[in-house]
Amino acid sequence: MATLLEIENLQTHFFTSAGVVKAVDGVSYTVDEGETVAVVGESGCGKSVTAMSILRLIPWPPGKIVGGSIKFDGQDLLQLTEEEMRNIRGRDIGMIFQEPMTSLNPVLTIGLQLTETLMAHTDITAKKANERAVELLGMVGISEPERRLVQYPHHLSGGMRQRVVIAMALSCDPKLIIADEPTTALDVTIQAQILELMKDLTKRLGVAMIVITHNLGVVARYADRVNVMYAGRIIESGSAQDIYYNPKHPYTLALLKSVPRMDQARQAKLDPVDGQPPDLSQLDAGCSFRARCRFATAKCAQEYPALEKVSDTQYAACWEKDNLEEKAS
Amino acid sequence: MIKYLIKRLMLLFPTLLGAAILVFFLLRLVPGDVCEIRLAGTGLYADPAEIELCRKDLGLDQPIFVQFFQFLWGYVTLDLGKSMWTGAPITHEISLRFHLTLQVALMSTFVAIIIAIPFGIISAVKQNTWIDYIVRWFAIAGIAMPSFWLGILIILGLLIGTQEFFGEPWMPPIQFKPIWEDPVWNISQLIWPAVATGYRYSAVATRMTRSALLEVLREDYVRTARAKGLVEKVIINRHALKNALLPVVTIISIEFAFLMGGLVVTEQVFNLNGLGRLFVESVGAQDFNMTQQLVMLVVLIFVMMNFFVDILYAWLDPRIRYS
Ligand SMILES: Nc1ncnc2c1ncn2[C@@H]1O[C@H](COP(=O)(O)OP(=O)(O)O)[C@@H](O)[C@H]1O
Ligand SMILES: [Mg+2]
Repeated sequence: MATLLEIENLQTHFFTSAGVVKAVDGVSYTVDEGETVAVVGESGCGKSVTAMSILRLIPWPPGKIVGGSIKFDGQDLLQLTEEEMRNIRGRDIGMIFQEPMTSLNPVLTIGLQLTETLMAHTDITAKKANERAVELLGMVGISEPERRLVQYPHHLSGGMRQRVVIAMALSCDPKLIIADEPTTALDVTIQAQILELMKDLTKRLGVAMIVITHNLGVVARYADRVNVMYAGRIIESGSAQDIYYNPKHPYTLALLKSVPRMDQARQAKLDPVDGQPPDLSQLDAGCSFRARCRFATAKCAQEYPALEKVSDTQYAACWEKDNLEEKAS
Repeated sequence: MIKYLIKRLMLLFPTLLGAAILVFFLLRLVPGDVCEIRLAGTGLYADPAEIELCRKDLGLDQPIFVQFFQFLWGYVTLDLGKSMWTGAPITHEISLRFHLTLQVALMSTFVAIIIAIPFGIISAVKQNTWIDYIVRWFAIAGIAMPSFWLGILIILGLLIGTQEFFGEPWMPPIQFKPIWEDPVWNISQLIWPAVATGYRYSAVATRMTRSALLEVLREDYVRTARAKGLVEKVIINRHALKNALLPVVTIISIEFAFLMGGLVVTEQVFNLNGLGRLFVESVGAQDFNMTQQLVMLVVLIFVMMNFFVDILYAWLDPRIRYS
C-alpha cells in the first residue's frame, strides 16, 4: 500500500510563561492508505497536539509547529497556504473528537452541521447535500435520518452524537480520518459499538484512520499498527501483535500490565504506570522515562535513545530493549 | 412553553402590587405634600385654611389606607387619576411624552447595538492586537464619560463644526415634533441624544460581546468547525455568534428598560420634554399621583422586557425549553 501520511520529526511547542512546553518533540510515523494506525500513551503525552498539528489547528499563541514535515498525499502540509490547508480540512482529512457532548454546536441543527461541510468543499446543491446527509446518517446507524436533520444535538444521546460526528467526518469521502479518543467519553457498551462502526466503515470505504487513545486494550483489536507515545515522542512502534505480545520498551510493558478491560467502567481508569509523567517544559538530554523505569542505567541519563529497528515491523527507543526479557524475569 | 410564558405573565401582578406598595408609602415618608409646595413653596406665608382646602380637594386628608386603595382601584380600572400639580389627566401627561422617550430609547438601543456587536466581534477576533486595544479604549471611554457631558460636547461640536464648514452655526431643532409629522425635523433633533446615550450604553454591550465571544471561541464545537475546513467568517457568524449573543441580549434589554425611565439628565441637556423630566418634576412637586403612575409604568416596562428576553432566549438557544 502506498504511504498516505508521513510525519517526520514533528515538533510542536507551546511558549508559555512557565517555559517552552515541548508537547511534541520529534514525532515520526507513517500511515498507509486504508490502514488503521493507533497512537497510544498516557494523558498529556502529546497525542492530541500531534493530531491538531496534522490539521494545523494549533492555536498561536501559545502553540507553534517549530520543526519537521507532514507529507500528506504527496504534499507537505506545513508548506501550504492557510486557504489550501482549509480545503484539506474536512475534505481530505476528517476529524472525530473526544467529547461528543460538546463537539457539536448546541444551537445549530444536525442537518446544518452535516451539510455545511459538504457545501464548503463541493459545489453540491442544498437539496443534494440534504440527501447526502440522510444517507450518511443511515450509514452510521442512526434511525429516522430525515427527522434527525431538523433536530438539535441535545435531542441525541452521547453515542448518537458521536455517530453524527463520524458521519460529518466521512461526509466528503476523506482519505484519512483522525479520531482523537473517540470513545473515551462514552459508556462501555456504546464504546464497543462505536469502535466496531468505525472499523467497519473505514474498511468498507477504504479510509485510513489514526485512532488516538490511552487504552491499549481497546486498540489491539482495531489497529493494524500501533505507535506508543511518551512525553512528546514515539517510543515504540510496531504491529498490534508486536506491541501486544512482544513489547520492547519498558513503558509499553508497564502500560500492558494494567490494560483496562472492556468490562470495566471507564471511571475505574487505572493510572497504568507508577509515578508521574515528566514536566514537558523541563526535559533534559536523557531518556524522559528513566525516572519511572525499573531498567534504567547510567546511560539513560545521558542520551535519549533513538527509535531503532528490532524487527521488520517493530521499532523501539530504549537502551535496554534487547535485555528487557532477561531483566524482567 | 406557552404555559411557562403565561405563568411568567401572571407574575406581573404580584410584582406590580409590590411596586405599588413600595412607591406609595415611600413617597409619603418624605415630609410635606403638594399643597404645601404649591401654596408655600416660595417661602411666603400660606393660610393653613387654604392648605387644608387644597388637601381636601386632592383627597390628601383621607386616611392613608383609603388613599392607597383608591390608588389601587384606579390603577386596576385603568383610571390613572389626575396630576396633583397641573390637574391634567395623568394618561394625557404621560402619552404626551411617552413616544418621545420611547423613540429616544429605541434609537439609543439601535445605536448601541450597531456599535457594540461589530466592535465586540472585531475586538474578540483580533484579541490583543491594536484594533482590540482601540475598541477597548473606546468602550472604557464610553463608560467613563457621563452622557450629559458627551451631549454637551456634541452640541458644541455641532455649533463649532457647522460654523467652520458652512459659515453659520447650526443647532438641532429645539421644539419637538413627532416623527409622523416631520420625520426630518424629528430625527435631526433626536439623533444627538440617541448617539450620546447609545454610545454610553454600547460600552457595556461591546465588552460583553467581546468576552462572550472569546469564551465561545474556546468551545469544542468551534474547534470542530475549524476542523471541517469552514472559513473564519462562517465560524464566527454561524457557529460562535449565536452562542455568544445570550448575555448580550440580556444586557441590551435591561439597558433599554433603564432608558425608558432614566433619561433624566440627557433630556435636560437636549431640552427634551420626556418621561425623565416629568419624573423629576413630579418628585420635586411632590405630585404623588404622577410619581406613582410613572413608577408603575417603568415597572411594567421592566417586567415586559424580561418576558421578551425569555422568548428571545428560547429562540436563540433551542436547548432552552421552559416548563
Ligand atoms: N494550549 C496549550 N498551552 C500550553 N500547553 C499546552 C496547550 N495544549 C496542550 N499543551 C500541553 O501539551 C501537552 C500534550 O497535550 P495533549 O496532546 O493534549 O495530550 P494528550 O496526549 O492527552 O492528548 C500537555 O502537557 C499540555 O500541557
Ligand atoms: Mg488528548
